[in-house]
Amino acid sequence: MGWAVALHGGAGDIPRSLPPDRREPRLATLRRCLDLATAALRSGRAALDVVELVVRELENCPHYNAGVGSVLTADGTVEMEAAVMDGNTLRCGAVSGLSTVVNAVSLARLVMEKTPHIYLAFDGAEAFAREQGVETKDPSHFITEANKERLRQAKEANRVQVDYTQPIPKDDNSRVGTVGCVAIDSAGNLATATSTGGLVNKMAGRIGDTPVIGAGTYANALCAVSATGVGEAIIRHTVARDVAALLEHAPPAGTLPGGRRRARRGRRAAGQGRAGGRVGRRRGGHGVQHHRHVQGVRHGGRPPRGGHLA
Amino acid sequence: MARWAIAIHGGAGVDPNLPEHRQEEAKRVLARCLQVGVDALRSGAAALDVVEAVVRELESDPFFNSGRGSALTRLGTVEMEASIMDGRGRRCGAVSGVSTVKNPVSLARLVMDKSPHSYLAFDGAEQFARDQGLEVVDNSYFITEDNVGMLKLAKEANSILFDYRIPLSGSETCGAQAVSSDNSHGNGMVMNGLPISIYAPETVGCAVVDSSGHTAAATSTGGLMNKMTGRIGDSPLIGSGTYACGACAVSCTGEGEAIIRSTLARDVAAVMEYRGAGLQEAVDYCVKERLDEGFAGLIAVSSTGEVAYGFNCTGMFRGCATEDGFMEVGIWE
Repeated sequence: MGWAVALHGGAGDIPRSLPPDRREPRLATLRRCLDLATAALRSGRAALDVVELVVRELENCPHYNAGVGSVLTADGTVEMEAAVMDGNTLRCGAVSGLSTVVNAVSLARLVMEKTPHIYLAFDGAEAFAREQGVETKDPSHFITEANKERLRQAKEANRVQVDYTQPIPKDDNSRVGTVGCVAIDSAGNLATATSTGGLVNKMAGRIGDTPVIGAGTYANALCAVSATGVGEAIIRHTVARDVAALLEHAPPAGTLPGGRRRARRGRRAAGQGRAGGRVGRRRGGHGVQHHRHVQGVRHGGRPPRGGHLA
Repeated sequence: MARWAIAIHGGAGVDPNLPEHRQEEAKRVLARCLQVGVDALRSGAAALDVVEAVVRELESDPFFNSGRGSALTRLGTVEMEASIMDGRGRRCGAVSGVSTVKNPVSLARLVMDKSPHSYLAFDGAEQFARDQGLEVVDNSYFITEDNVGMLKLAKEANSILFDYRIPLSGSETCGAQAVSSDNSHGNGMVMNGLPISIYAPETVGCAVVDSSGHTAAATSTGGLMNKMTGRIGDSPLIGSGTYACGACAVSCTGEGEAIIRSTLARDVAAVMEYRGAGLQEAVDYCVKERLDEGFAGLIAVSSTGEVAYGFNCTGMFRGCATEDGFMEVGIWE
């Protein structure tokens, strides 16, 4: 069976005019992560390991809104969240409200593997991180100058700014997003992981779609999905689960009128849909190994591009 | 005019040896709270207001595991969570890690109505409650003598084991193994790593369709006895513990982790939407096919005024009523 991997660094109204000095570092990171994933999959690593590996790299890149480089709450603090899910076993783990953990995605995996629970948040999650001995840093480590400026501007505009999308007049750097990765390994195992700092100027304590299984993150034996965009819209449309639910419950694509459209409608989220999806869909039988990187972003009224990997 | 319908629950996974007087008390509380909803629906209240009002009643009564009477964390504290969803527009609100708010379901509603977000947790949720002027009480208000005793027993049982329910290989039904695994308590039934005699049915919930055909659902819980602090279960998770849309409204209860893995509440709606199933058919399918090795139950109403429930464990405290005069309160099959 062929392996496949897809990753994303957030969705939104990214301007085509994004200057090269802002575009290139992000693209370079995506390419590096894709190479990393490809090498890992070629050498037989499990999908779950690969998605964790890739999301850790993206978390460590200050150009994306996860790990170092996470956007700031209204209080000027960082509250990171992440989730991971294994498609075959449906095992999953999630964390919210992290302020010191260097790689939130790895803590989510530890919640999955080392606790009887799925989801730990805030002080309890921080305490668990210390128990497990994962790498932690002072909260200031995660705060970048660019994000301080972003918060200042968001406060000036007196609004909660969607991390990736709202045009900020003076600073195109605001377009940084949630990160995620989906993979299927050559043994046919699917996995997904998503990580984020959330929204610029979010209220302290706000939880978005990323750690909510079925909303921002979901995998089963049919597909693996990582969503990004307006968290509140993704939650109420249970976007990640709905991609899987359509594959599972609906007749094969083509025989169901509007099947794809329904999935898309789910993503579009009733008029305020700024969301992108990532799907790794299992397709047995063909021996071709392939990978493709799709930057699934939606521009204005155009339908979402890409998002599917088969 | 559509026909209204209401279903409520007070948790799934009931000790088969629950004393008769406790069973009677449970039914009395359920009947009283159900009547609150029925009266509101008869007077034309909107589904969203009804689910909030009914869940407030259930929270305020110490019998069930939500609000006053919530299960205790490992540290002996209460950390409550709740969510609410309006089928119209699929608006939703949720809270976790609430420790002083008297009625978490109302805080969830305020998150939906008054914040730019749909989910707030821990200190941020508490701060928001104060900003909104909601009634707050000391954490000790929620702690009952019964639950202090239960926590002690739970600790003695060295419970909340590593998640033995997850199959390490293959897809054998580990539920059966879990039930027969080594535990010397009660009748051998285990839920969430707790002998059924200690397990506090997690959660209360309500699902309603009003006479305008609008649906709503709400769920509230203290979570799992002896849980790690910071643990979030299925109740506040839209699509897992709570869901409402144009087709139906659903509230789930039971082993939270199994409900999350199966996105149980959303799947009832998805089976109706994508397979064209009826309400009871969708409920039966999800309980049978979507719950892996976990124990859980759920209540549901359809936008056309049907009620349904289902569970795969010993029993579920529940009640339901419809406009044509049907009313039922029950615990066992």
